[in-house]
Amino acid sequence: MEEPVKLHIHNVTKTYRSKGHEVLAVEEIDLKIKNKEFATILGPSGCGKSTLLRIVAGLIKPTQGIARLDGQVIREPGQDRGMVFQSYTLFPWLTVKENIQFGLEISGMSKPKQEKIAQEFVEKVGLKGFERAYPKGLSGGMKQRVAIARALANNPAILLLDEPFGALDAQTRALMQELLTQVWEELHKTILFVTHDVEEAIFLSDRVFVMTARPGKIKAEIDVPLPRPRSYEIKATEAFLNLKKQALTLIREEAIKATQIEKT
Amino acid sequence: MGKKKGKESEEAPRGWKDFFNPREPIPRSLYLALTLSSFAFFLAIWSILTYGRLVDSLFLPSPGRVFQAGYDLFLELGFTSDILNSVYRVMVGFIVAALLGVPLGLIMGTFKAAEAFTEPVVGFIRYMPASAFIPLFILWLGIGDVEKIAIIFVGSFFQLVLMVAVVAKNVQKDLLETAYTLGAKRFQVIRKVLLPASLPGIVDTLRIIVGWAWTYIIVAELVASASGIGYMIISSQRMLRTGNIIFGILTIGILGLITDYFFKWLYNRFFPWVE
Repeated sequence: MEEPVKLHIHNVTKTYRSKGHEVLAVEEIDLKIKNKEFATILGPSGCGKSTLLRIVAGLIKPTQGIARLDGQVIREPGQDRGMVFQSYTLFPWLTVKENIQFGLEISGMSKPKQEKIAQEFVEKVGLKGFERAYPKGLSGGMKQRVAIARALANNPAILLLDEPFGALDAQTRALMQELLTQVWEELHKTILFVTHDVEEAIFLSDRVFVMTARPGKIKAEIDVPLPRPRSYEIKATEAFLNLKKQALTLIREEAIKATQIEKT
Repeated sequence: MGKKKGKESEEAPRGWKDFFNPREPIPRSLYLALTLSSFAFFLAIWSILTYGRLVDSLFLPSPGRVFQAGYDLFLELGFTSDILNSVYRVMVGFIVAALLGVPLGLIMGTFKAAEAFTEPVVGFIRYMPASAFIPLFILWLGIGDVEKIAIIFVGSFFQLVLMVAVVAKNVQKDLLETAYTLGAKRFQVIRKVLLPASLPGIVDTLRIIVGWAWTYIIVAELVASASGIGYMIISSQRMLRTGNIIFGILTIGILGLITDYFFKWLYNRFFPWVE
């Protein structure tokens, strides 16, 4: 059965001013993300993929075009769109559990209910025993687990992830990818994920959108029909490697263009 | 991790040259010994100069004489009430400055419109030395406590406002954005993110400002005063009681140290989460 469209990014263009110049960050992006889909935007650095995600989050407004979630025009940030950033954004004065409860408290939920949900997500991301720890005592991977749990605890309609594992070392990164796949396979949230890592994009996603160098446009769409549940072993299969090769070729061309843009 | 590192290097064989490695930790015992000997060093020089009669005791009395002077001050000259007077003035001036300055600083650091309106004026007044206001304040407010407190206020308030504004401005924007995506509205973001994130910086600012307040009170009390530590110092000068002057200065140092430790304690007690 075909799932309905959850998120529709309709002809979105974003320009901003920098040192007196108009910079075109993304140009006429048109994307439809289906319900319960894990979609990834793959692009070279500086291609405007984060800009696109922030437009969906409502943190910035598009210059042209609109984004709709469940048919509703996105105008400002809201609880229906949870976001995980690349930088560590845990509130340092709150414990792990209090961080996860933050959004629930904002929405006026009763304390016992908050605690119950927070505990549930603490366990889902494998942080049992760390409920009362402050972020300063956590490793980078653990911080991002909390950030994911915090976003999910709010029960958003869509989860937005902006290179959430970008600052982690390779091994932690691989483990976090597996954790995210597990969580997704369990909860089946619609996810829009942004990364410049080809392997990460293929491993996690149902569909990968490859973006061009600045100004960012959608260059290609890759379907990833790999079976689920997925484990790290899939990364060595021929089907995976073929998809990876396809994506690598596409992204390489753009990466070369991106370095040329930087030079000029 | 830092502690572990320190321990490792404590056990490692050390050569004389190792102590010149920039920023390398040194053994705890050595650190403590050096800290204590810095006081001993000054006391030693002071003793040599005075007990060795290298300096006229009128200019620099010996440690023993200074402590004798302190003993007399407390027992016969009512120095306790001078201290209490000074503490009272500093605290009232400082607390009023903090009560008004912290909220104003937060508003300035949070809203660009407030910053545009207040920063030029505050930034300008900040450069006017508080002590230059003394003659003006004597004309306006007389020579009582109110005038002294006003000096403290002027000296602390404007600096405080700007420093608190910087603290609020430095709160990571990501944290505010995260709160928005978790459903917080504008005022919830201010109350639940901006405020708690700024608190450690505010306490640290208060610690620095109270130190300055202590220097202003002495200046204020040196001019047209009838009580306070500064008054005791200036009247001792007239009577050539050098010992009293030195004891007064030491007292201020100790009071400053106590307030400093109080704020440090406050910081560690309430912000165990700071990295």
